Amino acid sequence: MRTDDLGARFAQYWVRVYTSRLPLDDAADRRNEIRSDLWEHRIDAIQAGRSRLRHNLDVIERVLSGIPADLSWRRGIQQSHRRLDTGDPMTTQQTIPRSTAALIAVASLGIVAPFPFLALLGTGLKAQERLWILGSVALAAILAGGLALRLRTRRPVLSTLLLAVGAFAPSSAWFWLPPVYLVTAAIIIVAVFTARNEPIVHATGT
Amino acid sequence: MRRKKGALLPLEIDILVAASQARTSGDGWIHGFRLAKAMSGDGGRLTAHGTLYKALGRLSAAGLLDDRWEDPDAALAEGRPRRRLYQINGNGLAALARARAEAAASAGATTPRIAPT
Repeated sequence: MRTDDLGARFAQYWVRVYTSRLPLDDAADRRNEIRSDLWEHRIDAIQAGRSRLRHNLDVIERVLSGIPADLSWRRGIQQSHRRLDTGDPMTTQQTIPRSTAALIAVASLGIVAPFPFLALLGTGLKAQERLWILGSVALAAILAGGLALRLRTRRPVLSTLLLAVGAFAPSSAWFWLPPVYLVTAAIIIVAVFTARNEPIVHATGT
Repeated sequence: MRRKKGALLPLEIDILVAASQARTSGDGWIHGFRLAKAMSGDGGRLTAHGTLYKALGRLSAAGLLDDRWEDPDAALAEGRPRRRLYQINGNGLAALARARAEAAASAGATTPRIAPT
């Protein structure tokens, strides 16, 4: 039995993403359960004589259509552990504003960012000048992404905004390519929903 | 829209039905993929990972399903990952019976009555 199929690898990557920085027991349970499911699914595909391509597509479809539930489950786990840590109920109203603010900022950036580049690229710039602009965009994206990863734990909101800037940089240069926007949107969704607003595990004995 | 307290979603009813069938036909312990397979019927689409396992967690937390991880040695002997097993309990069977009764009552309420001739 091979569990290194593309679909299984994608599923296992995704489960690592959305269980990252969750309490160890919850994360391990979910990862092990998905690993078992993928194994059983593969056995079932072999027994049913389904092609590897068809099986991989089935797995990817199951992963993608479950993403909203995965993210909602993650938030539920985070909230229940915050309640345990602080003794205070963390209501939905308390958790929404940060994510909403980040989403609004990101959406605004996405609408605004392409226009300067549209203007620049449409004004008869020389090829070398365009190259400099695109190079600067790429460098800015790399710097923003690197800084965001460094700040991920200490400054989750700022980190999310930087990731959004980095993700939008290619969209501003290749604004005519829908796949670029889709990747950008995917990065932003993951960045927003995996941002940790509060520490989950507190040091003890200090 | 919030659902009524204690009300089951269609997916949760499907899970409880499949779990109750497993209980009738065997020892009752069934893993997530087998549940998804049972709910999908022949050749139907399998429930998404996230949707399925979130619903299973909800039903366990509500006390309608019991769950346990199987013995690691059993999985090792068969060379596969360990399964998390679920079993419908008395509360789950009662909740399923209530859901079925409510569905039957609402179906009866919407069916046009024919006057006797």
